[in-house]
Amino acid sequence: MTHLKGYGWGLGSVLLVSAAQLLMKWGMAQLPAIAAPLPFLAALRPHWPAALAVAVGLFAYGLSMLCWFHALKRLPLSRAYPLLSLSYALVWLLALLLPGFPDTFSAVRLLAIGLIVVGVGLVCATPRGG
Amino acid sequence: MIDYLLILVVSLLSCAGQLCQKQAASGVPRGSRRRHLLVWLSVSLLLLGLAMLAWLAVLQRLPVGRAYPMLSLNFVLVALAARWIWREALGSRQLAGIVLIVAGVALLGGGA
Repeated sequence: MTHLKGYGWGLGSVLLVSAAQLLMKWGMAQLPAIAAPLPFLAALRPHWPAALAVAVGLFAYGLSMLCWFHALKRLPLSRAYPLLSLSYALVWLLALLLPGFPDTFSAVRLLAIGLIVVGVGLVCATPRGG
Repeated sequence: MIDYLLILVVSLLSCAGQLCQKQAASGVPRGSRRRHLLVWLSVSLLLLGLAMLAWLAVLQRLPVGRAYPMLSLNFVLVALAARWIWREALGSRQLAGIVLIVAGVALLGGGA
């Protein structure tokens, strides 16, 4: 039962961090370059929906870390960590499907993310050999 | 070029932040345990905050579906740090995983 709850918290964390990335991306894309802090800050009020999206995204990111903390109480790190790679695939997919994101489909990108998901699973597996 | 340097900076800062969390949780305190936790967690928070600022800059420059998976570089950095700092095992599975992650990140960096 503990593991099940752990996966629950882990999936919650994955969903939240994915939403966070999409919100932050959508918001930041409409704001001036953050490398120039003063114009950036000045734009927050007139572009308040974008600023709000970034703020909600940061909040969602914080919530995802809380869920992650709860997941780690019930799951060993080697089981929890691979869940994070699911968020890479989820963000890729949602950025493709949702309007407002410039992402286009690329088979090479799909391959790259597949390599990364498998790679993360291997890195997190119990050590063997070496 | 700047984009990839920024992603590397995000990775290094967030990796350092995670390592500070690990040190907070499992390091041996020289003085009081509470002070040990406070110092390491504060440094971790600062590093993660800086990483987030750099990340927001990345988001303005690259599509999120391409940039975000490149943060998997963190897994490689943390695994290597665990090997070098805490002497944790890095077996053949880990090495194979690292190769795959680096290959995936390289494809993304190359424009995928």
